[in-house]
Amino acid sequence: MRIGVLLRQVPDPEARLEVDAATARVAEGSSPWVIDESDEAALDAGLELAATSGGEVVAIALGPARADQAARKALALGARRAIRVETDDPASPDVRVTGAVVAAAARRASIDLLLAGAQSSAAGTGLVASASALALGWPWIWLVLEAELEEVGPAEGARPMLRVVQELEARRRRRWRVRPPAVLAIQTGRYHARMPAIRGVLAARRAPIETLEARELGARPEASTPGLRRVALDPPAAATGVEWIAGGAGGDGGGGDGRDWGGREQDGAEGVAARRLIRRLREVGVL
Amino acid sequence: MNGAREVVAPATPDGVVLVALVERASAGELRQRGLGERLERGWRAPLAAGRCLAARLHRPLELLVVGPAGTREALAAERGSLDVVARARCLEIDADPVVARSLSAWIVRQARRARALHVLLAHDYGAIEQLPAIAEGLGAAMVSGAIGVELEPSGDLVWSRPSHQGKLVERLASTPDQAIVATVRPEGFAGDGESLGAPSPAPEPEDAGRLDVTSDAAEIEWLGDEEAEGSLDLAAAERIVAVGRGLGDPERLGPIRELAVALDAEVAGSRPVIDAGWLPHERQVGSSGVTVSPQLYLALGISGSAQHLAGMSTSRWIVAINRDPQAPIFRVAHFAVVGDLHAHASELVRALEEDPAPSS
Repeated sequence: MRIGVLLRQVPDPEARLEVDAATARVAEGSSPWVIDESDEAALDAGLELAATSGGEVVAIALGPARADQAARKALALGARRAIRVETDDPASPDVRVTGAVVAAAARRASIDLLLAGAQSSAAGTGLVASASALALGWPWIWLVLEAELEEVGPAEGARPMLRVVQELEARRRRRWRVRPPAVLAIQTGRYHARMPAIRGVLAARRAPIETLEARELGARPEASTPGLRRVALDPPAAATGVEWIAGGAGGDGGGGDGRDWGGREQDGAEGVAARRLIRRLREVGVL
Repeated sequence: MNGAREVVAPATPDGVVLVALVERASAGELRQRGLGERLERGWRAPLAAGRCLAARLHRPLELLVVGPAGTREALAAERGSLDVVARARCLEIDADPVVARSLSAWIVRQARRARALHVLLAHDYGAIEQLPAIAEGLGAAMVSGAIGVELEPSGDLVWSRPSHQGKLVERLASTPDQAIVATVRPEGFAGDGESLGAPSPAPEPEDAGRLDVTSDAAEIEWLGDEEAEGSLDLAAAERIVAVGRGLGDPERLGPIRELAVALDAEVAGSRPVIDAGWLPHERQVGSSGVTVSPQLYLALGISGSAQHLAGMSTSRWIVAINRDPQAPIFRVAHFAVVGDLHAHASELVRALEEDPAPSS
């Protein structure tokens, strides 16, 4: 079985983000770019399925040249091949466009199963895997926690069926049986980011990455005119109704009413904040 | 699921706004509690979005409700709160997981019959999973998790949705004749509560016919559901101390547990903490974990992803301690402290020990 894994780079989830207003995208230099956590889980799942079925993993990275890093990590972890689809905006505001591109890359790679993160920490639509599946004409399952291949007897000759566990709202689990080719949208929980060994990293440094232009892949014509344009990407409006509690001396941050908040000389800033917070929680009656 | 491959009719610029909602409760549960709470909570935001959009575009609002036997009657009982709905139709069916996968093709047919240009759904698992199939059947673009929509002077619509885990808001424009299928986040829709003219009772809900289950059993087979294991009832806790990714190291849970003891609270975590195995699954707060609404929710090092906020934002008093003053958690907090969670947690323990509550 040949398993494609979609790899997208997102800004480090811990980073403070700056937006390039002209493009309405996160500024290239404002944060390190890392493989999305749910795509990392998909890669882990793909490597595990390949190991148990004697199959192979094809990494499909989406993005500009920096996405080669994501492809190299997959190669270092044991992916057989890596493809990067060159696009300056891997998360089109019209998810149908992204789905068409991913589907075209999946066809080019002749895969039997496509794995992708269920929801990226960037755009986070939760729709890329399903939109890709629809463009491929394959069945899909979202929010997959766990997947394994059924054993196939030698006489059957068919591709093995997949057993899939979905984790839904309130941690309810739903089990499915799916016939590949299919698309599974993997969520974190059972699968995790892997760290490559040095030897793998060194080998991957020399490995070729096949680069394809999104245009060359022959995505569906209707996908060339997106139905949505991203006109802005901004921080949300300032929080209202929140009371900021600071640790400094004086009344500010404790409500600004000049009351004695019980801060003492020997307390550090955190100690003062702690006393102020407890006092306020008692005043509102929750402590 | 892939059955929505019909020829796409040209979008009609005068199309209606259609809100499609699915009730997954059993007939017995529905008889017991009716649809009032559903309309007031989970369905409130998609209905508000439908009202806003219909008012701004001067188009009729139609409602499609799928639910178990008794749904039509329960909806009729709530007609008073649906006064801007021009037409309501009901499909009574037990939406088990296999049937649910056939719903997209049915919603497509209903939307085309109603000449709907904009279809709005609740932002839940079933709708998100099937959204591309509905969109394809209608030639529509997709908006996932809308929180607002504005009409520009040009006639374009601009949809808002949270992005980058709530740190940013993305605004997406669609032209006047562009069909759109959107899911609407439950936390609220900008413009909810606006007055939309003189109320008049919604018409009696109609029977929306029947569903042809387009079985794709050859490709996919449902094997069953399992409810979450575990005996802890986090939803019943009066006070919760929750930690997020900012904890950094499971070795540092000790002082957090001490703080929980001092506050007589349960310890909980956001999804990254549970995924890392630092706390057991039954202590996960968020849309994929437990939804809680305690008297006190103390969020330590939790940035506040949309999926976490969905699980705790109705708590009575929310205290957030985070290093990043821009963290989305501060948007739902009542009390906010910017700083290192470990230093603040130990100082809170010390302050509570030195100055116990008068009653204890």
